[in-house]
Amino acid sequence: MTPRPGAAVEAPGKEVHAVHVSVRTDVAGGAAPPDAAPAILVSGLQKRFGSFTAVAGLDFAVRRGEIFGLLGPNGSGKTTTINLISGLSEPTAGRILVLGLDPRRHADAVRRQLGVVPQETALYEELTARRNLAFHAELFGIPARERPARIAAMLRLAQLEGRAGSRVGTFSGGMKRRLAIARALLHDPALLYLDEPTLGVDVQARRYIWDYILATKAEGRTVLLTTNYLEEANVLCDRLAIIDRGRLVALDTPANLRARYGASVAEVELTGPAPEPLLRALEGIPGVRGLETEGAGGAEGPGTGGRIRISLGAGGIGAGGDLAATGVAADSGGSLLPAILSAIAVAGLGVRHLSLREPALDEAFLALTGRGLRD
Amino acid sequence: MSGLRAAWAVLKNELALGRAEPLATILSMLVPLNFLVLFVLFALSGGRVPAAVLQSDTGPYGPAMIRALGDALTFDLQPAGSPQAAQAMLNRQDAVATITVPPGLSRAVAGGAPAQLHVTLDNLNADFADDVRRALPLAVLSFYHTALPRSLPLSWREVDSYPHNVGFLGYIAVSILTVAILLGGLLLGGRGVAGEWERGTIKELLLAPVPGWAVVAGKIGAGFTTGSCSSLLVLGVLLLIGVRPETWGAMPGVLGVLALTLLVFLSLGVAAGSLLRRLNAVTPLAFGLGLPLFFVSGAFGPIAWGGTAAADVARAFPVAYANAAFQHAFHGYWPLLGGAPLVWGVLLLWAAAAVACSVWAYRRSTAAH
Repeated sequence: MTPRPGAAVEAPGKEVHAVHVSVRTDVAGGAAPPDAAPAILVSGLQKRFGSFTAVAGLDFAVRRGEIFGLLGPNGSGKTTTINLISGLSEPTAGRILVLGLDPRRHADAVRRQLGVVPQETALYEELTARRNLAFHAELFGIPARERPARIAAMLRLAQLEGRAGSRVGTFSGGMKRRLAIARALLHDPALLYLDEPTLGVDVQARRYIWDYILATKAEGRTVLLTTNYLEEANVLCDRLAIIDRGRLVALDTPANLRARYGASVAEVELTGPAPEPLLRALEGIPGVRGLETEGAGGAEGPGTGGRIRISLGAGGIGAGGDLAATGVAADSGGSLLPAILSAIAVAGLGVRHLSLREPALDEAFLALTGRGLRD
Repeated sequence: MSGLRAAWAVLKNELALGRAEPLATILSMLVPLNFLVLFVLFALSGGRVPAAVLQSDTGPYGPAMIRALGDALTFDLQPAGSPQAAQAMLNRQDAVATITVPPGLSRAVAGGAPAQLHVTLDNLNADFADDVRRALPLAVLSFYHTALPRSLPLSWREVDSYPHNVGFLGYIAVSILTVAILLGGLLLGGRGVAGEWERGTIKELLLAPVPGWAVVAGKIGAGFTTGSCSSLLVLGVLLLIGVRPETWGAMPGVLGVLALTLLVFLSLGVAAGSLLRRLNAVTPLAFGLGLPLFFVSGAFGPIAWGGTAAADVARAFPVAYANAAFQHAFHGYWPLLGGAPLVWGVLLLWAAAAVACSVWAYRRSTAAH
């Protein structure tokens, strides 16, 4: 089935398209040194709560130094997956390695390398920002002589030096988020996990946090984040895993996911009404998914041209083949423009205006997870 | 070593939270004092029956009758100048009864003629009224026993087991120490852990490389600090109002029992907080379980160690043993058989079991599942 533009995409079926996960298993037995292992390795991961299966056989690997996004609708299994990775929950089946270590068997070693920013921030709101950081430093065994300098540096990083002595309860949502991130970085973890890092913060704070996360990556840390903001995932993440109903439905770079599962739209305003043969010719171009016309046949009166909205790209569930088979590169559909312009020229018409809209990650997400509401 | 360091960090943090919310801390420390005030008022108001007494007899036996009424250990006698004044006291509820020693009482007694005390009773308060009904015949008997001993061939001889009496006020005032520990321990321990769950800050603890026992130890340590202050406050007030130990040498024992019992209830509080995870569940539990347990365990008087269900409950819990230790220290007697070895044995066993229970409950509540 080829989804039409604007039509609801069928909810994901059993098959998973174009998911190529390279899972290294050589570290499982501890043969490979931890430094050589992926930051996170998830293999055949399952988690059941009674008869409910929250995670149904996940496989993915997070490379060291990348920002890896975990996307999915509510109830898709993101939090369960994260709890499993953090060692807060125990898998029913499958295996997890964090920096080459089993988080259950080497809980303390993994925790020392893991900085976590929970969605609810988990800050002591009755205490000051400095006291929150000091407590974290003590729990993580940061030597007393190093604590003041590290805490000061983190407060500076979070731009909270002026509020170090204020109660966290008086902070805005953005300030709390910044403080929570600063706290997570205080013990200098190799892996940072952020759960909805910009939930409920304003645009300025969101941009600041994005910069913060990117800077963290630049320092060589691996970042795992979950988010419901697809724009955020698009901007920050090197790769994205989209999970739904406990299963991995896609894993790729944001650009590839957009190209593969989203649709570019070319809007063409012609010098005259578009005749039927032209429309048929356009529909026949490989990679064109659908057409919508406006003003065809001169309905808008003399002097007005026809306007055609052309959905490009071969993506979508049930598109009937991979990209290579369509001859369309994953370049947002721009490569189809010459063929479109040629068809218009053959029809004896000119182009008054042409625009190409990039495919959005939202479309890919909806194509993969469906449009039905989740609780 | 890192576990101990973590426990110290958790302890400091918990105390910092207490300082940040001083009102809640102060209130939890004042709860036992409230009980002390309540119980003292109860003892003062319920201990003796206020009675207006009108002396109308001019002979030698009138004052002897008044003394006999006083010796009945029931009345708080308040002299009235006239029948109207006595009635006014009754009307104002300053007195529960008016007792008039009639004119000619001495003459009648001396002549072996019948005589009557005139008693007007506010019988709406059955408790007080019954006290008066019981005490008046005893006072009359006491009068004859003292004033005309030959008229009563049957007598009695009292041998006291102890060199002093233990007053009701003294008894219940000491037992306040136990309630301070019981409620303070359950509240401080329970709220300390439940608060972490409610705030969501439990994640900070779970994701830190620290063992569960260290968190429990820190919570108990912080509760111990605050609970000790609360208990010492009660102890100080007891000393101020004149309730003092038999000998100052008993104080180390008092402090030891206090510390051990506090450890028991702090640990049980931590266990409850770990399993319930909600402040509004922990607080009613502390009061709902703690107070009945306190009352059946000898708060108002020594337990009758018979086969009653209440006694079985009291026997099973450490409250009665702590109370017994305090009574011994302050009043010089053991309200249960077994004495010090039994008390210390029970409290030590309870402390070990409660600490183990708290660690188990915390681990269970935070275990990966």
